[in-house]
Amino acid sequence: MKSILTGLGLMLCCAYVCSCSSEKAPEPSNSACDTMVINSARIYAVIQMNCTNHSCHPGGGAPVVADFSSLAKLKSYINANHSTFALRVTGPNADMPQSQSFPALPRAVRDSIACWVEKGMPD
Amino acid sequence: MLYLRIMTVALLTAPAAMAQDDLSAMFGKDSVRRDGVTSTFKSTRIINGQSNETLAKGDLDFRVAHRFGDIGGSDGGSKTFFGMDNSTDIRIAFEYGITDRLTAGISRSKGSGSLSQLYEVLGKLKVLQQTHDNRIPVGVTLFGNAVVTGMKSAAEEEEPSYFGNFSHRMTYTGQAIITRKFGNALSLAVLPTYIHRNRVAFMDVNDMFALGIGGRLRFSNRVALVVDYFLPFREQASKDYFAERGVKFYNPLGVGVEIDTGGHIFHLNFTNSTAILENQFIPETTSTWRNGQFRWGFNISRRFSLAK
Repeated sequence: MKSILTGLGLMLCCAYVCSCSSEKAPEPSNSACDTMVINSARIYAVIQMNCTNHSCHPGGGAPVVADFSSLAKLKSYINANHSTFALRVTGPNADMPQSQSFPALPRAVRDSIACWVEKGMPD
Repeated sequence: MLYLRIMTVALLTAPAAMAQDDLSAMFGKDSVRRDGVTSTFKSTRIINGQSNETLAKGDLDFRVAHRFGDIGGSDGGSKTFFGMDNSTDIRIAFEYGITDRLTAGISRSKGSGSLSQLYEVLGKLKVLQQTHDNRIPVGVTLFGNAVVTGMKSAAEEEEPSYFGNFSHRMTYTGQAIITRKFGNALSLAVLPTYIHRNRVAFMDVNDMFALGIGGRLRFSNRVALVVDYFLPFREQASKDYFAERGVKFYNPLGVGVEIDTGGHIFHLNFTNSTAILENQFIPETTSTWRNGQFRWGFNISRRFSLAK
């Protein structure tokens, strides 16, 4: 039993060391927000596809706090919770959409949303 | 003649009487217990951090940990029933006592932060056990885990969740848990911790050291107050870069009540960290108690003895 445990321990140590690496993601490219033309319809289509289609932010169900069931409600949420939205949706360590096999939003999409918010969410 | 007999009896019994005295003295000295101190903590976790405790040989520990949403702040309040409509992280684990000093386990967590869908392999080894006679004044336990994410890779290389190869999915924790129990009521722990993440966001840190402290104050045989706090050492340049982008990191603080119900150890706790695993709550806590961004959480532990 002891030899099995020792062997298993050594194998785990080897796997631990071999699988170690240190890499940083490249610097996000500065998308030119000044020249970017983004309208609400485009952003809301992204929100519908990634945030409301999975019954996550439709309002009425949990979590009810972020209700994106209409463009007006999305804008209202962002106006009231600007920093939370930036942290969880557009920031460098954004964690939305969460788990449940939903793919992370591409950086370019996050930048577009951030730019749209920065410009005052134009229609 | 009678006098001689009395003297003889006195002389013969004196050593025995003296020996009895010596034996009593020796007994007095040996009343200091030399065995190991047990139950420094009741559970294998303090709140967020590990305790020094390992499982008994043959014991299987089924653990469920849950962290709800923010109690206050913009995401909390009555509209989310103080965070109970949301869950930031959930962990289900099976841990097994290979020997009385060595525990191994596996777990699955939802994850909270840049990575989700986390699978963990963990090991915990009790190296030193505090003794009642202070021959060994502190207990030392080593903890390590390796965590892999099963989430789909992001499409863009700039994302921390972009996985060019399998090793990019891995994160690790190495930790020493140094503990001391003071009497029956108070236990303290110091937890020097090292976190390694194979791939991180730009300007984030792959290697991070942190110092944790924790404690348990017993009120009765079944109820105790538990606290733990971690101080991560992040480079200033990294802090500044993220701060410019609206992300501020905070130190995880957990406060809770531990209830021993007999078969279960039940933790009712409050913490600002959204994640459960060390690999995430130490380097990635971005919520703060000051803004109401603390949450209710619980750890439930149910042990089964599989030893014959």
